Amino acid sequence: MNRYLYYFIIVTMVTNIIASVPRILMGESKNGVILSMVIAVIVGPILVSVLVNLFRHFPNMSLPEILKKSTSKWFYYPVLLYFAISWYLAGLITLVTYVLLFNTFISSETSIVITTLAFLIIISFGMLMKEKSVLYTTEIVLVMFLPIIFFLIMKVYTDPRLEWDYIKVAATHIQELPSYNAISAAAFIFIGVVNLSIFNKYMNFNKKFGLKHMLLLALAGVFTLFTTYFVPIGFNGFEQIENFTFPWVTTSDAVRLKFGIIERLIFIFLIVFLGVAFISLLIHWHVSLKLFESIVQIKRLKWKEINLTSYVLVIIFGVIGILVTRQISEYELLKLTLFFYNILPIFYGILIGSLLIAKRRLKT
Amino acid sequence: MKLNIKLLITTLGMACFLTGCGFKDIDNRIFVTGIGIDPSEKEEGKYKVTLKLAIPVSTIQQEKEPSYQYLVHEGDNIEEAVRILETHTDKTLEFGHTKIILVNEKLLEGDIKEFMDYLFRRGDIQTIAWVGAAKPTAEEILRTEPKGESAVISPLSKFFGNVGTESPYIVSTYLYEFRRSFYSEGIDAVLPIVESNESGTQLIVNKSIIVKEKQDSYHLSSNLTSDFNALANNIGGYSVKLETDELNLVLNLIDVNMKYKVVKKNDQPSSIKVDVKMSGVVSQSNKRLNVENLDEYSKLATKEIETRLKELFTTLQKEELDPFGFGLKYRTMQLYEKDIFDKWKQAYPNLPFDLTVDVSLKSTGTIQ
Repeated sequence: MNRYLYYFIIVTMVTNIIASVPRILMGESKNGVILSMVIAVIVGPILVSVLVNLFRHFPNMSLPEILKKSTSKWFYYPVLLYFAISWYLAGLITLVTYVLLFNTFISSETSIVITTLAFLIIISFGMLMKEKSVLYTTEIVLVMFLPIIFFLIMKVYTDPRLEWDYIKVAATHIQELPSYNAISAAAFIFIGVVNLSIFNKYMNFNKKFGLKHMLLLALAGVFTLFTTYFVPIGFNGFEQIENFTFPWVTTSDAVRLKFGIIERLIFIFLIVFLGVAFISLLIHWHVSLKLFESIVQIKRLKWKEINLTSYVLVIIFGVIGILVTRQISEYELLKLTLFFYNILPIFYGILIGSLLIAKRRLKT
Repeated sequence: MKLNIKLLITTLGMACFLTGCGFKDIDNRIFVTGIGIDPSEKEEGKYKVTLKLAIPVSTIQQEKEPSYQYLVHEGDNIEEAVRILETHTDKTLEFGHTKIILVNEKLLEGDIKEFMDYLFRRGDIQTIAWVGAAKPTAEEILRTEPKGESAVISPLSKFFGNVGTESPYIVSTYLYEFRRSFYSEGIDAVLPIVESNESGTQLIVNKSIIVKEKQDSYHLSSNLTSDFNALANNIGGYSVKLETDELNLVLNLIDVNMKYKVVKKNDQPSSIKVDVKMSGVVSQSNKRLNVENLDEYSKLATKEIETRLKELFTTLQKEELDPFGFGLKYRTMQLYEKDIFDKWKQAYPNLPFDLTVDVSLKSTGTIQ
């Protein structure tokens, strides 16, 4: 089952190629983004390996189970609540970004509420699925879409009008000092690993997560970040790049499928990435739901033997989702995303810290 | 009963979406195939916007003549004019199929950022629409309907991108390319000029215009256009006339390949090194040609092309124009410093070109 770990990471990588990460990176394009990405590619795999090796000590246990077994109530309640909210926010950011993107590029006439609702209904089914089904869905969607994504990205790379001189100009900014915003945004692409908190139950890490795996991850990260940051510059020039709202979507519109059924790559591109974004959203909110369930169980909310707590939670998730998408402006979304990325060290810190505590307590 | 309740809820839930989606049906849309932007003729507005609309036909075969509708309005900015034009038709204007954006050449002199911003900001206009400079006016060019045109097709689009005709005289520029070259330091944007013949039955594209910010745009003649385009975009079919005392040859160069780099000395650009490799065939001659002498003809051609290209480079240099992107190349050669581009700008007008041309002729055609 270990391959699912890679699926999680790939899903976040792919989702973030076109969502908020490129925009933040472009915003820092004259502010040391290249060194920041280098740092992120080193730090990211290290964090992944630390987390995987910690989770290895708790085979077939999810984070709530680990914490409940080893720590007391006053500790695990706030910690789990914090994680649940964080995961919810991660999903919410994906949701809002993709709804805004959908409305700008595909259907500007559709009202935001309808678009969000269409997203939410499918996600709700997914959230209520069993953990194993979520894993299988992830696998199916990735197996279906990854080849297409690979083909599309190759199509972009091989376009004769991709001008490498602009990319080289962007690369001449390598000597600038890294910026924190860029590091955290670039490191975000490795966040998929934290989904282990719930899915560790189904994983079985026999071997240590070693250097070889880290190297593999770093390579994937380099490819993702290079694609995320440099390719839009090759198509749109370096000077104006920070002005794009969705740099990668605009870039995908620059590629023409001369002999394709659809001439404009952008439509295939958006739909395929939307598919992966759905999975990313589904995983995040599924984890969030499970974490909430582990701390909130209303016993009286029962109907014909079924506890309705999770249904109520899903509805609350959706309602907040709709309210936020309706209210939020692009600027606020950017600020929220930046804030969320910037507090990631705290997030990792608490996760690693609580796992270390649990590990020590379980030993004694 | 339990199952029925579930079924009921699902059906009701789905029914909510049956009210029709937010999408407008296709019969409520009309497709804009070309946008033309002219300076206003009246005093009040600034721009005159022309939209070419394709009128839907039942079958393309039945329709002998292409049928178009034109909407024209003047306004202070493009957005305003388009908003008014929306009231001139009973359907939604759909810009997703716009393939041609024509800008009056006079507008390219002034502030082009304003309308470029509009075209790019709208998410639904393709960034792979072709941009061209129209002469005398964009409206006139859009209204030209050449005989061979088929119904419901974006006008002009076959000129560009080597879809239909293929010629080094035709520069093809996508909207995003135009924007990127225009905004980037060290390269200037080139647009094709679209003209129509006097009787208004034909479209002609064989000249181009170089657009630079805060500078008058510069017209390239047909010959310079083909020189530039063959080199910059490696387009074959480049033809050269060779005239010596005895020989009169016309060459057709199929493979054109150019490489360039900027040579640096003491942290200053010192010269531009350009390597051009061409290979082709003889397509016309006034005498019988000997295959053994092909190398000799190649040498003659090399000399001829060298003078021709030198002229192109020095003309561009004199005007301080850089459509090839030598400046961009220079910027990639060292780590970023604040004054790197100023250094280039000062040096460029006086930089010597180190040009090497290598022409190899492969054949004399079907006869000697």
